[in-house]
Amino acid sequence: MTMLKIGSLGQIKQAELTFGDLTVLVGPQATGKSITLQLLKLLVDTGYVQEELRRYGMDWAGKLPEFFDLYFGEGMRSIWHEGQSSVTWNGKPADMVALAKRKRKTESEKLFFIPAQRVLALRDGWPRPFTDYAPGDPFAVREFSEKLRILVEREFTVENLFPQEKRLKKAFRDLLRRDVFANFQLRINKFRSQKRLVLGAGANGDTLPYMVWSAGQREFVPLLLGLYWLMPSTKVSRRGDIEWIVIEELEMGLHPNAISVVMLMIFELLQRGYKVCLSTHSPQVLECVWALKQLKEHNARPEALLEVFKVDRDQGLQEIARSALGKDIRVFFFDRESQTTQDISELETQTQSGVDGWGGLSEFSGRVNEAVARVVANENASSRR
Amino acid sequence: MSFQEAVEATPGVAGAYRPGLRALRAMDRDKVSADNPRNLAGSVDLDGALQAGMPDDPRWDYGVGANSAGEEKVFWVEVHPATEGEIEAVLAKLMWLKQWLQDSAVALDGFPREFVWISSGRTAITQRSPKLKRLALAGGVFKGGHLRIP
Repeated sequence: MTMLKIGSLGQIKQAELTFGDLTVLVGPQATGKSITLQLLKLLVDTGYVQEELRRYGMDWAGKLPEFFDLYFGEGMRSIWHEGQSSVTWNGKPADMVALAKRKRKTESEKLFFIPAQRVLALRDGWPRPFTDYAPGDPFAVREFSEKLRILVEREFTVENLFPQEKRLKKAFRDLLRRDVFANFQLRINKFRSQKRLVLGAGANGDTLPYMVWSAGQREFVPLLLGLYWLMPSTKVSRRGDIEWIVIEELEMGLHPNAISVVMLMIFELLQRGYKVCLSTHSPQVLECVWALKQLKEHNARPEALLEVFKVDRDQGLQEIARSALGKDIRVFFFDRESQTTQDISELETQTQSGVDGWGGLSEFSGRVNEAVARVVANENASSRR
Repeated sequence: MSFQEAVEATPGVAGAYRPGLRALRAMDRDKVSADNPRNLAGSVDLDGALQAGMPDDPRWDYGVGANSAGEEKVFWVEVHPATEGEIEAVLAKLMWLKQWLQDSAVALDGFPREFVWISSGRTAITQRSPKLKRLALAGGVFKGGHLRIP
């Protein structure tokens, strides 16, 4: 069981997380979810992060404030309060000052991070290299962008990036074609010798450059490329030594149908043996998690889970669903008021204290129901009296 | 007319008035609480009181009177399993309650009110359920595992 305790870091007064196979973080903006996930990456991949920063000529002189400004982004040195901040990793204190000082032996990457700012990874339709960013930009964004660049420059020898027979299950390809790409293809083409990603329609060769893509397509393409990275085309189930995946706000820019497809793809990541951490503001994402937990508790068959997503019961999807129903799922709420985290894995509709058990994500629906019910219950009051 | 007087004036439940939350069965009592217990105006066990006379009717469970936000109102409370499949049963009970209030409990029918469904065990329904919207359109609201009276 992987455990992380944080004391006095940024907006967080106290956080205590036990990670499951799937861990979901919810809570209002600026409550520390992203800091927590980036910290997780740093703790899992200390040596790798240091080596990457050094490789690109960064030098923090062994000092924690400089290191935080490089890793979390400019100005983020302020999240660490000397003498107050603390991090405990798997029951042992993590000495962050020493972590910034010491040169760790280079290790292979264990955690792949898909950041909320993923749309920034493409410029003019092509992934930006690590060095294209300012030194004060967060490491997670720069690193993700660099990975996409490597992927499209080195791993794709064909023009078509989507759909591609050896990438993703056919069921996913069909769903994405319907719900995200509207029958367009994602291609690499050249414009005045410059390679770029475009959307192409059919055989007539018409192409849509990056700037005319829909907001959802611009958000989704970096996510898709990230998923390609994690789902190699070979028989290997995972890439390299990667064990962990963080995806921030997977729902960004996506229609509910597309969110459902991505959730199913996350179940495939779980089946491949990855541990997945999500942060979300989407009630739909939490509803998927709630359904998975409920169905698991009631020993449901995989078909029942697939019904949630309204997909065909092909064998591959059934195996994904069967695997998902066996996974350990944790949900944590980052509470702005108390600046602490609460384990809300039970996902009760409403807690004993009357608080929304979904970390505020179903609160609005509850209020809508109450407001309507109250009016309906009391209409024609004067005629009743 | 107070909540107590209204209960005592209603045939079938006239002797079922209890102070505070005492009309609630012991297993259900911790499912309702009041921020200020002094504001509670009493309670009535409809289900128990009307069982003999209306054994086959889909009877609602309780009425709880409370002085809330400056007025005396009644929280009509049903403690029932909370799954999507049970919404129809709760809707049927709500229709019965409204009809009973109109036909047989005119004194109670005049109070401001809320029709509240509380889960009797684990909750297996989400606030986003379209079926809960149907319940809302009938005047009922699902409150999870607990009703807190402000």
